[in-house]
Amino acid sequence: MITPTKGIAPDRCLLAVGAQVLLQLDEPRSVSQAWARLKAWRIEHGHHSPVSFGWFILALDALYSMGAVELRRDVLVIRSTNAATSER
Amino acid sequence: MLRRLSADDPRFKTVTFTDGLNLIVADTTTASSDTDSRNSAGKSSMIELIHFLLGARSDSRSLFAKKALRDITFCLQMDWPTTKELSVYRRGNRSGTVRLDPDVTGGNQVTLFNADEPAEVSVEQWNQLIDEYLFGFGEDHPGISGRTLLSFLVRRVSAHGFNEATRTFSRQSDADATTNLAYLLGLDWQLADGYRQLAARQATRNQLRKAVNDPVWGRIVGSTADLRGQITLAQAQVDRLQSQISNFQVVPQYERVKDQADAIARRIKQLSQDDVIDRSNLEDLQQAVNEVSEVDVDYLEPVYQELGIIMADQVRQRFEDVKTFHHSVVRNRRRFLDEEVTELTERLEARRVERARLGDEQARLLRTLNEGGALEALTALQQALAREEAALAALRHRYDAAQTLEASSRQLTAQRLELQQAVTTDLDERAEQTTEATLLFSGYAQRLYGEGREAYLAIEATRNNLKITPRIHSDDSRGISNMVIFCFDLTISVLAWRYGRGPNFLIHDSHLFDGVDDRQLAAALTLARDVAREEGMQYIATLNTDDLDKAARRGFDPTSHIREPRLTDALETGGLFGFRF
Repeated sequence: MITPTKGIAPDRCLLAVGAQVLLQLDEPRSVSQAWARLKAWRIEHGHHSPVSFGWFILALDALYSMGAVELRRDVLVIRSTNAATSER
Repeated sequence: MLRRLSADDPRFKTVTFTDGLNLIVADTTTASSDTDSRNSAGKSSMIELIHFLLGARSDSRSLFAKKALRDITFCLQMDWPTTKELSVYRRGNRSGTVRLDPDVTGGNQVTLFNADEPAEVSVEQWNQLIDEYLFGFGEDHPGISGRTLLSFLVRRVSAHGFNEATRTFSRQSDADATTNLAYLLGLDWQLADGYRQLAARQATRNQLRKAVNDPVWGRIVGSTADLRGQITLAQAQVDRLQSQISNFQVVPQYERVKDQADAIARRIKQLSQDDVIDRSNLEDLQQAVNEVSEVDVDYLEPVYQELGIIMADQVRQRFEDVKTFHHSVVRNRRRFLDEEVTELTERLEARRVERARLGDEQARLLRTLNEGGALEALTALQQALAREEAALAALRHRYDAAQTLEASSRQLTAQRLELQQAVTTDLDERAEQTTEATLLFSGYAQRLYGEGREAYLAIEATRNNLKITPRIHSDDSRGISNMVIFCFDLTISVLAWRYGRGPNFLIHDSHLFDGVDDRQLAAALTLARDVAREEGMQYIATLNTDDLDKAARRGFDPTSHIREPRLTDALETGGLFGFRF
C-alpha cells in the first residue's frame, strides 16, 4: 500500500500519492483544495489509476505519521522536517 | 344691312353697299389660271373681313394678324335695330376689343351726357350684342350661337363652307349645325339641341368605354363586378381597423414597460443559467460529501503498521495522533462541504424565490402590454383607418362611374327614342312652319330650273339628329349642288328675317357660282334681286367678270347692281387692300 505491490500501481501507492499531495501544498491549503488540486494534477500528468477521496486521506495520514504535514486551523500545512520532533 | 367697309389705310378700297342686290366684281386677267387662287383680288378676303368685324375669333394665324395688315383699323358701318347706323372698328393687333360708335351696349355704363360716344367693348360682349340684337336670342341659349348663324348667312370659303348646304365648316357635327338651322327655320331649336347634348354624352361615353377597355386605363375605372369585390374587401378592412381602434387601450410609457419586461426576461434567463452551474456544483459536492462519509478507518491501521515496517524511523506520530488527525481532516472537510452545500442550496432557493417573483412581475407586465399599446400605435392605427376610408370612398366613386357607364348606353338609347318621338310630334304640330320652308325652297328651285322640277326641303326627326335635307332632283352635278346651297341659304335667311330671328343680309362668295350653268347663273342673280326687293333684304355677292358676262349674255342686266370698287388681280394695287402681301 505504501509502496507499489502487484495490486497497487506505482502511481497509486500511498508514498507516490503523498508525494503528489505535497506538491499541491506549496501554500497552506484546505483539504478540499488539496484534494481538488491533486485530482487535477493527476489528470494533467496522465495518472489514470483511480485515487478515491479515502485513498487521498490515507496518503495524508501517512504524511502526517511521518510528520510531513499537519492541520493548522483547518488548513493543511507542510512541516519542515528539520523542525519535526517526536511528540510525546 | 351692311353699308360700308373701310379702313384707316388709304390704299384700302372702301366698299359701299345698298339695299337689294349688290355685286362686287373682280376682273380676272387671262393670265390667271384656275390654279391661281385669284385671292389676290380680295373677294374672299372681303368676306373674311366682314366676319372679322362681326366678331369672329382671331388668332395669330388669322389674316388680320398678318404683319402687313395688323396695324390697320378696319371699319364696318351697318344698320342697327336700336340706332340708325353703327360703326364697328377692329384692328388685327388688338383683336380682343372692338370699338362701337355709337355705344349700343346700353346699360353697361351710365351715359348721361355722352350717349353718342363710342365704346370699347370686348369681342365677347360684341358677340353677345349680335346674339341679342341681330338674332333675337333670349338669355340662355345653349347650342346656338350668333357666330354659327352668321356662318350660314355669310359662308366662308376658308372654312369649306360651300361643301354642304347644312354645314358651315367641313367637320361641323350634325347636331351643332341642325340646332342652329332649326333656330333660323323657326323650329324648336331646344328640342333639336337635345340631339347635340346626347351626341356630346355619347362621345364622352364612347371615350370612357374605350378607356375602360384599354388594359392600362381600364384600371382607373374598372368593371362594376371587380369594383364590388374590391369595395367589400376595403369595407371589411375599414371595419376591422375601426373595431381595433375602439378597443384600443393606451398604456402610458409603453416603451418603458416593454424595456422592463425585456430586462426581466434577461434576468430570468441569467438565473436559470446560474442554477444550472450551481446544481452541477451541488451534485459534485454531494458526491464529495458521500465520499467523505464513506472514508473508512479500517485502512488506517494497516497503513500505519506498514509505515512502521517500511520506514520505522520515519514514523514520528503515535497511532492515536494519526487517528485524531485523520478524523479531524475528514470532519473538517465534511464541515466545509456541508457549508458549501448549504450555501448552494440557499442560493438555489433564493433564486427560485426570485424567479417566481420575476415570473409574476413578467406576467403582469406582459398582460399590460397585451391589453393595450403605445399611443404611437393608436395614432398609426388611426392613420391607417383614414387611408383605408379614403381608398374606400375612391372605390365607391369609381363604382358609381362604372355603373353610370354601364347604365348610360341603355339610357342614351331610350333618351334618343324619346327625343325622336318628341321632335316628330313637334314637327307635326309645326306643319305651318315646315310647309312654309318647303314651299319657299321648292319655289326658289323652280325659279332656277323651271316649273315641274322636283325640289323639296325634307325635315325629319331621326334617332341621331334633326335631319334637314334640301334636294333638287337631278343628276347630282357640282353646279346643281351649288344651286341647292343658293336656294337653301335664300330660304333660311328669308325665314329668319321675316320672323325676327336674323338680320336682313345674305352674302355669297363667288365660289358658289363656279361651274354653274349660264342659265342658272342668270336665274339665280335675278332671283336674288327679286327676293331681296320683295323681302326688304340685302343680297351681296362677289363675282368674277367672266361669270358676270355669262349671266349678262343670258339676259341679266347687272349694271345697276355693281358696286364700288371694281377689283382686279392684274395690278399690284388692284386688290381690295390696294397692295400685295
